Amino acid sequence: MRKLHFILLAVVFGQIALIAMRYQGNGGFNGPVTSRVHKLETGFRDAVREIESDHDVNSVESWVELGGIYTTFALMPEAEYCFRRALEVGDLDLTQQFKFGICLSRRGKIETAIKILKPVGASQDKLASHANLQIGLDYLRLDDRGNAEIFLRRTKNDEIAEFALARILIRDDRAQEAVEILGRLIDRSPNSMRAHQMQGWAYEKMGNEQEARNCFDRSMHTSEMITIHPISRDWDEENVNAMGASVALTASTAALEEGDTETATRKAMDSFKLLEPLWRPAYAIQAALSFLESGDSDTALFYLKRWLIHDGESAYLWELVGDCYLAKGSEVEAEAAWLRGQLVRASKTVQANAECCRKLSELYASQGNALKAERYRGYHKYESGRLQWRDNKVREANYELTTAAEILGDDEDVWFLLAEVQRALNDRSAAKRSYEECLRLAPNHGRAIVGLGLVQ
Amino acid sequence: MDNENSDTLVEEVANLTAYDAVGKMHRPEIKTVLLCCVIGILTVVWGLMGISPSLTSEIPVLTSHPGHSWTPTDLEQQKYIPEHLQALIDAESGELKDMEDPHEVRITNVQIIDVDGDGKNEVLVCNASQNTVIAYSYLGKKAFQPNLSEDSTPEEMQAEIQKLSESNGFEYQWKEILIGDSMVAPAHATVFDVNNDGQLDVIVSVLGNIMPSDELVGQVILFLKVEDRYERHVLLKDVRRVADVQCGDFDDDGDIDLAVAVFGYARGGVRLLENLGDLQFRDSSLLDRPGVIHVPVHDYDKDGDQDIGVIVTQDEEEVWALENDGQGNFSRRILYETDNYDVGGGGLIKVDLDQDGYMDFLMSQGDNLEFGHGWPMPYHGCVWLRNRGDWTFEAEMIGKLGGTYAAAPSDLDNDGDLDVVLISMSNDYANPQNPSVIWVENDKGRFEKQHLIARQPVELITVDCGDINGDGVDDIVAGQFRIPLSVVPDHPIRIWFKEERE
Repeated sequence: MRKLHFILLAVVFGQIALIAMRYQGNGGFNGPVTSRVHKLETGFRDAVREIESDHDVNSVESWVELGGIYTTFALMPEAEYCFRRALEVGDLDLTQQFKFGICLSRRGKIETAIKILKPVGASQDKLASHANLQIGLDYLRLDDRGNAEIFLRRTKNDEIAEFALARILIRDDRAQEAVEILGRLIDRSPNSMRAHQMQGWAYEKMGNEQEARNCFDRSMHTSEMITIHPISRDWDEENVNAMGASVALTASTAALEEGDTETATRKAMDSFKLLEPLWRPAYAIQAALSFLESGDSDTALFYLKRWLIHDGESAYLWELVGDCYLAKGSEVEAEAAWLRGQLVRASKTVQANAECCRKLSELYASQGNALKAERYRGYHKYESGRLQWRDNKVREANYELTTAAEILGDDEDVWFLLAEVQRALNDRSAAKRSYEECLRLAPNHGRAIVGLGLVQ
Repeated sequence: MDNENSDTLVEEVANLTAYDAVGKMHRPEIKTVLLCCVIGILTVVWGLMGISPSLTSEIPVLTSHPGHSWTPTDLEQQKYIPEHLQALIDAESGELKDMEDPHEVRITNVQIIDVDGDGKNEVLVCNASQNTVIAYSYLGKKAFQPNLSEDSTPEEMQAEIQKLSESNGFEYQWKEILIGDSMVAPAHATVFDVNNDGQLDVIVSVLGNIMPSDELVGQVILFLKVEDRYERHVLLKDVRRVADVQCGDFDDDGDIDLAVAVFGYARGGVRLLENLGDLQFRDSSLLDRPGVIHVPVHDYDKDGDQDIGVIVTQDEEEVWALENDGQGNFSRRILYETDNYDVGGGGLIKVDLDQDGYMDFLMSQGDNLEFGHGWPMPYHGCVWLRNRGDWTFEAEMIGKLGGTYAAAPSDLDNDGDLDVVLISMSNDYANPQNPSVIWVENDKGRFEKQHLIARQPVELITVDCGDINGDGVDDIVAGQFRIPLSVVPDHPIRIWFKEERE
């Protein structure tokens, strides 16, 4: 054999070695998966890339984990690919099979997802009920009410399934059974807004207007909400909270709770870097709180300015602006901010309106302005009463609002809410007086007119 | 080198050349050939093993209609924070404007409508981070002058070049008319002469929070046109998030009442604001259902009074009608419902699509705003609810687009019938081939052909068609609403001017 052949053979063996190494690295002839993470913020993108680089191609668990991460971030082709590669490496256990089904369901391959999920649903596994729920929901997505009902009935004490089943029954002229299912749910969770609401719809379908109205009234002051949020959504949240900017944010929050303001501010700054190029107000709030707590009100105000530009005003923003000014000793500015915070209705941070009123009351009291202090104590009571009412704490709401009405007798909103609370407590005469007081101040108050009609 | 050695070397070279020239140089050994082939194959195999599998959505690639095209241009919004809020946060003059932070891109509604009553359309924009309602009046176009200086960065230069190429060398000029500010998350603006004084007023539906919330944060605010300014009146408060308000004389008493869509979150409904005169309104409940987005008003049964269409979207996914008895008393009818809780109703507009004299509905399906889960589904698109009279509506899917959030009818191909423009919020935008704006061609009542209008910008939430530049041809405007989890370019308001071809 000539020297040239030796060289060529050496090259061939070298190539075979390289291919073997790549085969080993890839876990087969298929190339490595490269996800399209460019649509994610810096922290998530880096975290996903790190998981990809640590990925063990010969491990079913590793493929499933990666598939789960991709599913969370709606990188669906990547996710499906991972689960299929996992199947090439070995068998999926029931949990892994469930995750594969979730992936396909979210990818829009609903019929295939159902096939994958059925064995999990038929098993004795801890995820069986969850699988049956998902199958039921997927049949609903296919507009197959009959099969959906079968699988929703196979779930165990699952409120999402009970709501979905109740909806089917109401639409199917079997509202009485829906009333019973929702009744059992209310027995377990008396504060379930959705159960009261849907029971009202069931009564409405049955033509029982009185019971429908009662259910509606209860749904107005109960606050527990269950929407379609199955276990897979919890896994998404776990994934998101375990990577990227969320980790730094959580660390900052924990440090602030422990009084470690240095770590709190540092981690808050880190979280901004990981969030780039995106923005979320929770990060500005954490930065502002951390700097405010560390005595640096000006930097806290800087982050509140950024928040105002990005997202616009909110009650909590003005509460914190007021806190910053008070820390700086500027009472006039603090007062102005809190007054604005009282006007803008709070939603996510529902206590902000009440807090602004409380802080104003305390400020006026410290300034010796007893009249204003008392008035804002009344507003604080009113706002606190609203919060109690929304959480179905009717007696507590009654206490707060009664005090508020004593102070703010000229405010129709206070009288109206007090009347609603009194009606819920079945104190019809008190409710009647309060509605009438409201209507004296605002004769066209539509909801008070309806309420008065109900107690007369 | 001596001569003898030199001759030997020459002879050897000559021998080799001669040997090679007649032998292996042109006819190499079969082993060598095979080995080379093996090396080639192994190289290819090794290379292929390094290529990542193609992982994209299986969405068919759409192409543009060869006979119709549009010139896109961005309607640029200035940074705006009301002065009284700047003062509250102790910002020095211009301080907030000079900060690098932008407003988040949260356009909630765009319309092409004559806001000032001068016979020309404006672009009316609701912005839920600036918290403004602004009308943009088209002033004309001039040759594009790139805004570049010696200090311009390469990115700025690239952006200007991109603008130049996208706008076909023109710069479009606009006049801003601020209608209202300082309201948290305006969702929709309705232009109507509420007090019958001959001037168009603007009624704004205020969500109170752009994100899901079940708190009593919604409002209805009337901006009453008084001479050359707008006077602010709060008509309704202490309700859940308000998404739409439409006008109609429901009780036939000669004044304008209002139908209010309370989206809320888990609780919502439709409320009636009965006009009592002197800008006094009394509210009452017409329907209690969560997730009401739109309440288009029309005489759907042609009995001479104004009825209300209602889309309910929060898990229930239904279309209702509130049938008026002519006195302002309403009875409820379900026109459409689906068990598919996941269709994600994006809105309901009224249009007589088949021009048979009965008002139909177009319903967009594709709200996929769940956390991180935005993905096109087979049932996303546009549903035509065809009014057959006698309160019978037939549902037909007339357009498929992943993440469809809004639809707007227009005769795009100028053939006398109405086509439909669709925009998408959550298509698979990791794949740049996927469209964000398409139109569905009406071909003698059949809607089988879909054409691409644009792939950018993405994450669009609202669309309207109308003549913006006064050339007699409908243009398109769309608004972008950025989802917090995704990184995509910002283009809050994009306009596509229709080009007329020879």
